[in-house]
Amino acid sequence: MSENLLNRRLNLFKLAVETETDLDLIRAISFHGIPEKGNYRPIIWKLLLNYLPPKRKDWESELRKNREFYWKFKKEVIKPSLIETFQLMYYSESSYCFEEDEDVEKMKKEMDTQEFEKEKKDRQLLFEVYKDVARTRTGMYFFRAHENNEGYEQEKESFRKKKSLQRSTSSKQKQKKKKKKKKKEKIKKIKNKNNEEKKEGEKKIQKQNIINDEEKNEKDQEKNKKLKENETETETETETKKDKEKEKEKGESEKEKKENEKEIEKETEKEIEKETEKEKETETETETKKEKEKEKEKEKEKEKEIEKETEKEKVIEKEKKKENENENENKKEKEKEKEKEKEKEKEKEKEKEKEKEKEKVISKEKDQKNTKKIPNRVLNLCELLYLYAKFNPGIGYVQGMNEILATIYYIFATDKSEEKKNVEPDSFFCFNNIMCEISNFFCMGIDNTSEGINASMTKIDLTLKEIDRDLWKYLRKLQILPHYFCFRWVSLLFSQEFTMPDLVRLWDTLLSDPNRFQFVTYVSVAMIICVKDQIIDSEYSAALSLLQNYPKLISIDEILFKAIDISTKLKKK
Amino acid sequence: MENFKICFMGDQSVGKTSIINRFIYDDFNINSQSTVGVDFLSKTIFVENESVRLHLWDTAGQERFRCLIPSYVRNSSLVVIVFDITNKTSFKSIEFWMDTVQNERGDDVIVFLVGNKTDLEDERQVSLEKLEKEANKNGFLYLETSAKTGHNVKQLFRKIGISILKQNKKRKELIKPELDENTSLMNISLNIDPNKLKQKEESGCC
Repeated sequence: MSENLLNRRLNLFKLAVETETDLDLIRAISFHGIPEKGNYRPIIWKLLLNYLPPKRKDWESELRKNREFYWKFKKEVIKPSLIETFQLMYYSESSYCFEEDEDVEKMKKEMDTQEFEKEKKDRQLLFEVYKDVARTRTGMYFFRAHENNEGYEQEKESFRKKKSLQRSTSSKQKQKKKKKKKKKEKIKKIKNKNNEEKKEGEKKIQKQNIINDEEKNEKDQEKNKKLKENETETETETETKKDKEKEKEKGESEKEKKENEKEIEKETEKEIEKETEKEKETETETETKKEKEKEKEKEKEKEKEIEKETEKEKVIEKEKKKENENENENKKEKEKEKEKEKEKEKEKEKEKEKEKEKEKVISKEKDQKNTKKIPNRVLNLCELLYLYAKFNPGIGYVQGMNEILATIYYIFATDKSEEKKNVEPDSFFCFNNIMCEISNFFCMGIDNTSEGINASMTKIDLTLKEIDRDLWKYLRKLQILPHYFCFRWVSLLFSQEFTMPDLVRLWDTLLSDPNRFQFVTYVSVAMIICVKDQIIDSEYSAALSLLQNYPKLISIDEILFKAIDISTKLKKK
Repeated sequence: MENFKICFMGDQSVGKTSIINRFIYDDFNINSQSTVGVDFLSKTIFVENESVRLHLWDTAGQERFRCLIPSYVRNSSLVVIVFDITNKTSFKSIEFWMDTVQNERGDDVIVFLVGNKTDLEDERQVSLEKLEKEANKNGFLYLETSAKTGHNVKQLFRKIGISILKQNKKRKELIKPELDENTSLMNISLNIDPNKLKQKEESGCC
């Protein structure tokens, strides 16, 4: 196009858009393509898609209203927890699985089944959307989900390691729980026996047995802990050398978590023991019944403070111990020695805890940094498709919608004016409007009606028959129907067939078509005719492969020229 | 050379397209576009001293596209049902896909069950034993593959070639060629080949 002609066309666009918006004029001139220069495409697409009202003075209020609605709607539908899940998906790649989501267990407890199922569906929808967004137009740097995120690979690896660790530890935790339950049951049985035997007057001997049992239990627990720690260590060793360090860190942090739990249990037990022993001392000094009663009251108060029932039971047992210990002073001394040792251990544990807390803070900071790294457009495309599915529950999300949205989003995101910052709401409404017109192609129920996609493909077949009978006959002889290759062309408005610049040029025409989207049929037929020579020379599989993977060498101008030719021929008839 | 249609089906993103791409181009692209409608690819392989042309129909897994699948199953010599070994749900869906096949073909088709993504062994949710059990229950062939590493993909197509040839020989012995020139378009049957062979002679291609 010569510079003179281009300037004249630009003037036309200026006239059509800026002075008085004239939709008919806009359609007429943009049918032949909107120039890159002048930044007219975003605004014209918005006009053609009925997002901007025809009258210029209404634009501002309409835009403000729509954008406000969008942000409100988004806030309502996309909750922070969903974004957290999104991060998980982003880093766990294809291996995200709802059942393994960290807070699923928590949700199961807090929600009723209906709510839970809804949450499950929402997350699965988001993942479905994410998987397709991640593989949208990966040839373009603009759309790449991971390449322009430094440190993505590292994070992904560590995420996967974390997950596999979680899996192995969760099975161990289950085993632990079982063991603990068994122990508790044993202790309870023994206690019950004690109560009965007290009445019979055989208290003392039995109580000594309990003490022995308990000591054994504690020793067993410690042994178990050590064993488990060893297990986790061996695990980390088996994993690959490269990530050894990372894994170890994580493995340690999980071990520490476990230890934490154990420590808390230990500490509470020890505290109880301490208290009981103090009481013992006072007992030995005074030995009056009244004081005993007071102490019992104090103990009861302490019991209330410690809410857990199991621990209460332990306190009671320890009270029993005291009585025995009064009789056997030697035992007391031994226990005191043990306590001293335990206190030393406690101090060590406290130091460890402090270290863990520091690590936690550091890891949190890391997480925050990572969320910033997720490219905005990846998140936006996912959110927009998710919102569309929520806005149109009858249609939901269908694979391929990502390609249509990507085209619109790309145009609005590369707008050179101030409007660029409203890419989200603008894309949402324009996508919504375009989908309104082609939603028939996305509904299974309409497939076989006169409005459905099968009818559109039959129309292509009939048009080809009318325009180029030889080619039609040959395709029939090969038993190739448009249905075998046109489905994607029609339903996605060719967005998987062409490179972005070609597609945008094609869409200029498609959107300017007053009988939208009749022109899709003509373009499809034109595409078949443009590769006629190659089809005639090939057999079934080569011909079909050619049409399925449409050659990139055919220029969009050639196809459009042919399509316009077809439409004028048909009009004459 | 004879042509055989093979229909790939299974839930979305289990790796149908990736298995086919590994086979055809010996390449793996984690970002392969989602299949909309149906894709078609073909390749010639040599099995037991015979060359066989495989027409691979790669169907879309998402629910919306399921209505398209029966017409492709109808004309296939062999059906490959793919699931993802790291995804229990995709394994459970096998039943649905089997019903689709049986509604169209009864037991008159070879079925292959393929568990894909063996490269993600540490995330496995479906054991080989389960797959074996499911396959034996219905008399299907089965295999585990990884389109990413290429594990077992060649073997899969070799086995496909072998079993198709075997079935074809059986059929040729059973059915004497009856030439029926008025085959309707939507009733193309490539596995009973007399018609097809005749057409080829006429058109002079291949």
